Amino acid sequence: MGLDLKPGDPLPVLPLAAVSREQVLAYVTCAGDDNPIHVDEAAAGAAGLAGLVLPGMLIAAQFPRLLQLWKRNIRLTDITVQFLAPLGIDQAFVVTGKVVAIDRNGAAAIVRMTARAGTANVAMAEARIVQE
Amino acid sequence: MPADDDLRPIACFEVVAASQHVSGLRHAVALPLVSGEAPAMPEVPATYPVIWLGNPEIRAAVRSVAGMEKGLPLHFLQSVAYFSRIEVDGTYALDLSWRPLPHRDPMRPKLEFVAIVADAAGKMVARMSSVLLVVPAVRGA
Repeated sequence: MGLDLKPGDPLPVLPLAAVSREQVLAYVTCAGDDNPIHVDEAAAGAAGLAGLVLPGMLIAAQFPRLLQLWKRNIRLTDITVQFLAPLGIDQAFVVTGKVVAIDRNGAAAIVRMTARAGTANVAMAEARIVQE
Repeated sequence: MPADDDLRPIACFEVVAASQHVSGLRHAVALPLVSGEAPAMPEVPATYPVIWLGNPEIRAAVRSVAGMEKGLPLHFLQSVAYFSRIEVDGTYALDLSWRPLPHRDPMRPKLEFVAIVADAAGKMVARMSSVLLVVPAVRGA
């Protein structure tokens, strides 16, 4: 039995609220991410950023989360995330995507996803999924 | 996937998918939706192995690579390929290597770190690639 998907099938939209400093701190503490651009405004400014930015992997984690919310019977076999622009911690963002290809007689699919704040894409991902 | 012939070995580290750590990450990445809901995450978030690179010993090894001293690293690209599941409380070997990537600005080195994760039997579980762009700090900022 295949995934019953076809190219162009849309994924749901995951509308994410702006992230609090406490949430960012919880993430960087857990992840061991000590890059100061996430928690120190002076360091972010020194790196040429307008303010504190979300850790890229905190954004990246929303892509497999979207897949999980979309379909329970799938397994992610690989994912590539490109970070396109910094996302300020006070910005809400939206994650969505679509199926772009089917392979192996419908047993696997390639999905392309984006994380967008306003009109700006901040990250994009391509993932391969198979039926669980 | 580019050929790995030019990768420069750093070291091999033992890592553990400790249940408390996995659970902590699961909660930390479950950002609330605009609606206020915070839907559950899978048992082991797909991005979990990447945070092994934040282990103090591994982080120090990454920092020791030539070019990293030039500024603050910005995450440019991340990929993870899974060959089998990461088991909670499983112990793995993480073999870390790196290479410089071509970049037009020598003041902003682009570096790729590749981590091969294998189980106790030596079977490959995952391959991760992290591309970092090192950005010099702005003077006087």
